[in-house]
This record gives sequence, structure tokens and C-alpha cells, in this order.
Amino acid sequence: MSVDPSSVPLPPFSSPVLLSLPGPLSRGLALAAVVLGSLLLAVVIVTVGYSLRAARSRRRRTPARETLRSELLDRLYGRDDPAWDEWVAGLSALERDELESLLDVYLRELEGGDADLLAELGTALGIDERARREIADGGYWDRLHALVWLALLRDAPDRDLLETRCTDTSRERAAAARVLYAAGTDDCATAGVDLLLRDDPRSFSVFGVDTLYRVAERDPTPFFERVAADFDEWEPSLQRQALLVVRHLTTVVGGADRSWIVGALSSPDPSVRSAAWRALGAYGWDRGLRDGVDLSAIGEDPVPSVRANAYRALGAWGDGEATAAIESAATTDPDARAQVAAAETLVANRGTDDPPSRRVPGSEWVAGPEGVASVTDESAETEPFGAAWAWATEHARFDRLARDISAERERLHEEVRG
Amino acid sequence: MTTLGSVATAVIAGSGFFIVTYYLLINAGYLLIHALALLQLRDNVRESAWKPSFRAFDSPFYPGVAMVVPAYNEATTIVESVRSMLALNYPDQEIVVVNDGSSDATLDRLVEAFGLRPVDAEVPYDVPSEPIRGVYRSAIHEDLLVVDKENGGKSDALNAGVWLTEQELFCAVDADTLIDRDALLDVVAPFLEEPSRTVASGGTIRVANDCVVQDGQVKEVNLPKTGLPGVQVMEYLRAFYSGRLGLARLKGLILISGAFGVFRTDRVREIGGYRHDTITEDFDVVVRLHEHLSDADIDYRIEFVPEPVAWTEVPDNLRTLGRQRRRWYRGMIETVFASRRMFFRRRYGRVGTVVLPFFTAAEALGPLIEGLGYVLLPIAWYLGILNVEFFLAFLLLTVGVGVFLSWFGVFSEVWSYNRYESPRDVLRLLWYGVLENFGYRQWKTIVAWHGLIEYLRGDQSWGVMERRGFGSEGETSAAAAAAPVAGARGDGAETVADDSAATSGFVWIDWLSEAPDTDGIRWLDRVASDGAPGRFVSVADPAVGVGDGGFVWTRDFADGVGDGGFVWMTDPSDGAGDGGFAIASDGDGVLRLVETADFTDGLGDGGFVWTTDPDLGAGDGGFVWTRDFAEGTGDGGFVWLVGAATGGDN
Repeated sequence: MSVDPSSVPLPPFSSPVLLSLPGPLSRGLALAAVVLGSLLLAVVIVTVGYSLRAARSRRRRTPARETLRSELLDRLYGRDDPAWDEWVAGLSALERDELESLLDVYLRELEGGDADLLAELGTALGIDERARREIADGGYWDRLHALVWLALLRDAPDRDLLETRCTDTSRERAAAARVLYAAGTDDCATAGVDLLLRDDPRSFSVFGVDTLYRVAERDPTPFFERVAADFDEWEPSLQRQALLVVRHLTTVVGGADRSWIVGALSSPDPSVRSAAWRALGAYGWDRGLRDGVDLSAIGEDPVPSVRANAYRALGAWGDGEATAAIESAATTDPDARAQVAAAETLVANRGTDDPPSRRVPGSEWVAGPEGVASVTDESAETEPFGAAWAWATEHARFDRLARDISAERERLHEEVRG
Repeated sequence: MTTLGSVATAVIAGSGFFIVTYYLLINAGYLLIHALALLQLRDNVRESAWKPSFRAFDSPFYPGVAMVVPAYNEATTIVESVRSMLALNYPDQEIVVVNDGSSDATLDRLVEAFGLRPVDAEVPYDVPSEPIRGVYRSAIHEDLLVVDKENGGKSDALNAGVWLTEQELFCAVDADTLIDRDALLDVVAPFLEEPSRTVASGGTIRVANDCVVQDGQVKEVNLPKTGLPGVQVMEYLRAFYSGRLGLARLKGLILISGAFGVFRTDRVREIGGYRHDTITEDFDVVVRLHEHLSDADIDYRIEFVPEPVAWTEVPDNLRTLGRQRRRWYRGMIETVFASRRMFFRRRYGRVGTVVLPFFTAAEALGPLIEGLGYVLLPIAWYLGILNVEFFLAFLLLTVGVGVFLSWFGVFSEVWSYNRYESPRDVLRLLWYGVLENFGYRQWKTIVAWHGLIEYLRGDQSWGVMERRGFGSEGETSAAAAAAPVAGARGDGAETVADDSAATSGFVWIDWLSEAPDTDGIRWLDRVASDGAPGRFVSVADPAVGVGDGGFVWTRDFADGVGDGGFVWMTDPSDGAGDGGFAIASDGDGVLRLVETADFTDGLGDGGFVWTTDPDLGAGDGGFVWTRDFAEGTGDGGFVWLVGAATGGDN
């Protein structure tokens, strides 16, 4: 069977397009072809142009950068007076640009007197003045870059400038507070916390949380006062971050109000409750705060990760009352991960030779050989806390082993060096 | 006749209209996505240029990341890979290597290199994976954990790693992927920026062929010298710098490469981990995260970060590339089908209303429709209903748009991160953008149709992925040449194919058989590599032979454990590989099967070749590998018996 094309009547809907191109369609296609051709030409010209320009720039910048690096290190470490102004005055625009880039790298790496000397190079390059201008008049990204430069140069601008121009976003607030922290201003904690947490703050990036932590480390009082006053009004993500800062603070906070931390244990958001427990871990010494915590209710939290963090917090407290509370709740905890968290804290506090003992129906926990818990009743051999304990014990052993080997390696290195 | 002709013409003409309309809409969609990608890239470049003045290693707030590395038969590369990962710049990092039932010395190499010792305790969690045989920790590196488990495939291995880490984030990474030293710091950027909302973040995968690799790091970026990898460089640039950036701009990123992606550990556990019954687990897990988080009404974001780069070796021959692309295609169809309830539902945001439908229309149906067009064209021309002028204009426009989209990807790379520094390389990339439209593109439509057929037949194999490995100073390392794709499904015969063994029976059989079952491959491996004399013997019990199965005759290849079987043919090139097995007499007059590409070497007028279609053979069926002889049409089957002097047929 074959089809004779000439005998086949064409369906009316197909013929206009497939057999002949009407004028408008033909013109449309021609227009599309012209537009597409122009676009193609533009893309290829721009792409190759960019590539050529980038290659040319690399050819010029790479050797210049090496020369500048050498000169920079020589002036920084090889002379009593680096004479930055004199050097900078003789540099071309490209060299100044490349030197700024090098300065950015070294300012992030160096501390102390070397960083102070490099900051003077920044002044010689006029970076500080330019940064102030950009904060005052620049756009969003200009301001952000300017704030980074001022932080690297440890050069704090006027508070008014920061407060009026740098509080639009959490990122800007953090960058502005960072400048104060880096410059070590007297009002770093007060002004920093104010910049970060005033006027309906939103949650921060990790950089923002780190900045909040740094300014609170300088003086925790403004931070605790602010949080105690505003905590309940914040979104859970910001609450969590404030609690995270508290967890890591090492500065003595005196008589600051910390009741909000205990209050956060009742938050409807499990992640806030978890963070509150971890924060409380740092305050085992505070009897007043501890008295506000109902240890017997730990096992009642429906979320396993919250219970696990509660065990970790109590493990950080580390006293008999806390470990007894862990033991009491964890051995009946239905979640394996929470049990492992509890076992890890118990192992950390009591060592591997002192497994928890408790009565279970038809069985009894006893210290098994090598300190691993076992049960006397065969029917209870699958008791999950035994598995959690064994797991935690083994990992604690490996942690010690790896650290001992690292310490021994370090000692040998010291011997070789010494 | 007239009526039949009218119907045929109407169908073809209607199809023509459909194809033209379809292409206009799809290309408009692509152009929009690429334009959005440019905006996103501009923002990303700005973001990455802003580096806040704090040190990651001094901050206690960086989230911990576990690098989860599935490893299946990675003995030649695993130690170097782990060393490379241990050297990554990141303040809080753990490496979890999951040995997925490797049949080679992967675990031994790790034990030896890192002083691994078994953890003398049972895993206390219920891990959704094949049984875990043991957990090992390093006496040297506190942050290295090795999980040894029964083979279950890449998804299964990933699940074991995800369940055994306590880190907040995990990074799924292939064992043979090279990761830039700072890539982990970069790819977690969305988690640093919005710690509460971000659940996943993916980086860019680039092509490592012909790059200079030293100490597990790409030291010099080179464009591959040959065309096929070169075209893939351009494809990768287009996919990552245009496609994924555009989808990210739409808040609809649905694919994060399995070779390098970071996820919130708890969120992936919430959805039950990676699915075992899919072969593109990376695509599937991201779509299911979208589904789960939208169902739970959780505010989230899934981001793509273009700068962190992981490097992978791409296939340098059409056969391997075809297997890879067919697998991708089957996985795509699987995931699209599995997520069908999300389509056109506002509950799933732009993912449900725009991205998934567009993705399905463009990526899943596109190649099929294009392939259909290539078939219809000559028919329309024969029937006289093809307007040549229109066809040429249409062809010019579609090719032009294709070239434009490809060049857009190249431009994005040059404009942003400019890793291909030589303008000459950039010109070559642009040329590849033109070249792929003539031959390569058409070949991909065939691959898509082939993939669709495999999907409809329920094929779940991974296919053999031959890699040459990353050599130092740009030279191919013979030692590394055996690296298979990471964590491949064992039942998909992701097997070693090293150059040193290129002439051996095992590797040749491997290539020949496309993607047979691993057990069959291992068994054949012993036949070829042990050198022990033996022969095929007809028996009723498969357990008596070498290996845990044997061959049975069947008319339905689905009876076997692989995706095909051996049929008798006169022309070895008709099979899936380059040759087959002919019956030949050795010096002692014993008949044996020998591998050959020339059947005139053997007795009779043909030999056995591997194929997925039993109808191709001269008989009405063929031999498939099985562990249960009841699957076959007879009462027994053939097993290889070492030392057998007599027995059944060879």
C-alpha cells in the first residue's frame, strides 16, 4: 500500500502554513531571524570582548601584584618606617587598585601591630575617607563594602552616620556593629547592641550572630537588658539566635535578668526550646536560674531533639542532681537519638565504667564486662538504652584515642622543633 | 486510499502545527529562564564579592557539615578522595564514607590508610538502609567515620550516612568528585545567610577532563581537547549558569547535583531520606523536599550558588555518554511521574504551577517531540505537504535559539567567574554551541526515546560508567583509571573498567553487556580472570556452580536479574556491545566460549551476543542470568563448573 501525494487533498487547516507562507507570517519569520541574528552577534561580540579584556587585565595585573606583594612585605617587616605615603604617591591607578586588593587579604589575616601598620597603608590609599563618603552617599552595596573596609581598618565612623545610613537590613546592622567591635570603641557593646537589636529586628545571618556575640562578649549587660525587655516580641528565629549567643558567652554577666531563658523553655516552637536548653547549659552554676527549671518534666517534652538538648544541658551542669535527672528520663526515653545524647553526656561526666542502673520490668541494669551495660533478663536484651550506652562508650573511647594520638604527635613535633 | 491519505496528511499536518507551537512556547520559556538567570548571576556575583570581616574558623556559629561519600568499588581512588576531603577548608567538618558492599578492596584501603578500627557496638538507630556490617572510626582523624554495609545502591548508602551523622548539615558528594578547597565554605553560604530557612544548596559541577589535577585539587583549568567532552563543558555551563540560576531566581530550583549538594540533615530525615527505587536520587530528593515543606506549610528556600565548584569527569565516548543520559532520562521521567500530584497546584508555589510543568514539557517531552519531528519531516516531504521555505526558516530559528541559549551560558561564565581564561577556549566553547546542533542534538533525541523505552520496560540499571581518572599534571593516571561512578547501584553493574584490563575478558564482557546484573558480572569476572579451567554444565540446581546463579533459556528477558540476555546471532555488531561469544575449540579439542568480534573465529555460523531484545536473535529467546532456574522455560539451566571435564553444552 502506498500513498500518492498528488491525490491526497490537504486539510484546509494545514495548507496555509505548510504549503505557502502568508505575507504576515513570512514577515514575522524574517523579523524573528533578524532579531535573533542581532542577538547572536551581540552575544558573541560581548562574550569574546569580555574574555579578551579579562585576559589582558590578568596579563597586566598578575606581575604587578607579585611586585607589589614583595614591596609591601618588605616595607611592613623590613623597615622601621614603611613610608606608605611616599610609596602610594608613586603608584599607578592599576597598582593602587591591586594594592587595595592585597591589603584586603592581609588585613584579614594579620593582627596586632602588623594590622595597625597596614591600616596606615589603608589611610595612605585614602580608603577610610572614601568609605565614609560611600556610607554617606553610596548605594546599598557601596555602603556594605565601605563598612567592611572600615572594620578591617579598625576605624569607626560617627555613630550618627551608622545609625542613619546603615540600619535598613540585618546585614547592614551587623556590618555597622562590626565596625564598632573591630575598632574597639568604648561604647561598642551599647551602640552595637542598639544597632543590632533596636526597632523590630529580624533574624541575622551567621555573620550577624557572630557580631552580636562579639559585642556581647565585650560587655554582656546591654545585650541581656535588651533581650530581657524584647525577647517575647521577636520572631522565633531571632529568639533562637539570642539564645545561641547566650550559650557561647563566656563573660560573667553579673546580676543581669536571665529569667527569659527559663521562660523560653515553654516556647511553642521546639527549636526555641532546644536553644533555651543549650543556653541553660552554660549556667549550671546559677542556682537561682536552675531552681526555675523543672527537671522532672524533661521527659514530657514531645520533641526528641528538645529532650536530647535537655540532656546535653544537664550534662554540661554535670553535678549529681543533673546526671540523676538525665538517667531518670533517658533510660525510659523512647527515642534512640535522645538516648544516645543522654548516654554521651553520662559517659562524659561519669566515664565509661559507670553505666546507669535502673529497674525495668523483669530485668535489671548491671555494669557488664568492660563497663558496658547489660541486662540480666534475656527478654530485655533489646533494651535500647544499652545500645545507646555501648555506642556512646565506644565513641568516647575513639575520641580519646584520636586526641591522645594528636597530642602525642604534637608533643613529638615540639620535641623536634625544641 | 484517499481517505487514508487524508487522515495521514491531517495527522502529519496537525503534528506539524503542534510541534511549531510547542517550540515557540518552550523557547520563550527558556529565554525567560535565561534572562532571569542573568539577573540572578548578577546578584550572586555581588553577594560573593562582599566578604564580611570575620573569620570562619574563629566563629562558633558555623553549622557543622558531614561529607557523606557513598563508595562502591572505589579501591583505586578512595584514599586520595578522603584525603582531599579532609583537606577542605571548613571549620566543623566530618567525613562519613559509606562502603556500599564493595567487592573490591575499598574498605581495606581505608582501614590501612586511616588506621580504622571497628566500633564495638551496634548502631542504636533504625537506619533505612541495607544492613550495616560495621562502623569504623579512625585512630588518626577524629572526624572520619566509615560505614560498611551491604550493597544497596547510592540512595541506600547516602541514607546510611545521613542517619549516622549528628551534623546539622550534610554534603552529598561522589567519591570521584574533586572539590575546590574553599567550595564547602562557599556552598553553605545560603545556610549562613538565612540559617532558619535554608534547607538545601547546590554548587556548580564542571568538567575535569584535561584539567591539571594535583593533590586532589584542580590546579589548572583546561578545556578538553576532544569534541565530545568539550560539548559537554558547554552543556554544563548552560545547565548551571543559565538553567539552575534561572530556576533559583524563580524560587523553583528542583535539581541539586548528587555530586555536590548540601542539605539540612533533619529535613532529609523527615522525608525518609533518599528513595531506593529511583536512579536519579538527587533530583527526586529535592522535589520531595519541596513537596514535604509545602505540605507542612514551612517557610523555606533551596538555593543554587554558582561559584563553589566541584569537578567531575565526563564520558568521552558516545556509548558511555548514551548510557549516562538514558539513565538521567529514565530518572527524570520517574521523578516527574512520582511528583505528578504537585502539578498545577498552587499549594506548591512556583514549583507546582510553573517549574515542574515547564520542566516536564521542555526536558522530558522536548527531546521526544523533537525526535518525532525528525521522523515526520521526510514523511511530510514525501506527501508533499512540507513547505521547504517554512521548514528552513523554522529550522534556522530553532537552531539559532539553541545556539543563543548555549552562548548565553558561555557568556555568563565569562562575565562572572571566567574560569576558562583563554579567549581561544571561549571561542571553542562558542563553536561547540553551534556544533551541537548538527548531529549531537539529534543523537540526544534518540537517546531520549531509548531512555523512554527503558523506563517503560522498568529498567533500573545505572549502566557502566567508564572513567579514565584524574591524572597529575593533566595526564591520565592508569591507577585511577578504574574509578567507577561513586556509589553506583550494585545491581546496575557499575563496574570497574580500567585501561590495564582493557583487553581482558572481564572488561570486554562488561562493555558488551551494557548494564547486566553485578552478580552476573562478578561471576563472569571469575570465569575470565581466575583462569581456572571449567565449562558450562547443564544442571537443575544453580547453587552447584560458581557464583550464585546461572543461565536459563527464556523468551522474556524480564525473567532474568539483569536487563537483557544472550541470543544467538550471526553478526556480533547487532548486539549491545562490540562483539560476542563464539564457540571455539582449544588446543585439547575442548569446546569453549571465547569472546570475539569476529564470529568466523568460532564454530557454526554465529555466536552469542548481549542484547535487551530477545527477538533480535535467531531463535525465539535467549539466555538470561538468574538465581532461580524456575524462571526459565526448561527444567534447569547452565552454570559454570570449575574443573568440569564433562557436562552440558559449552
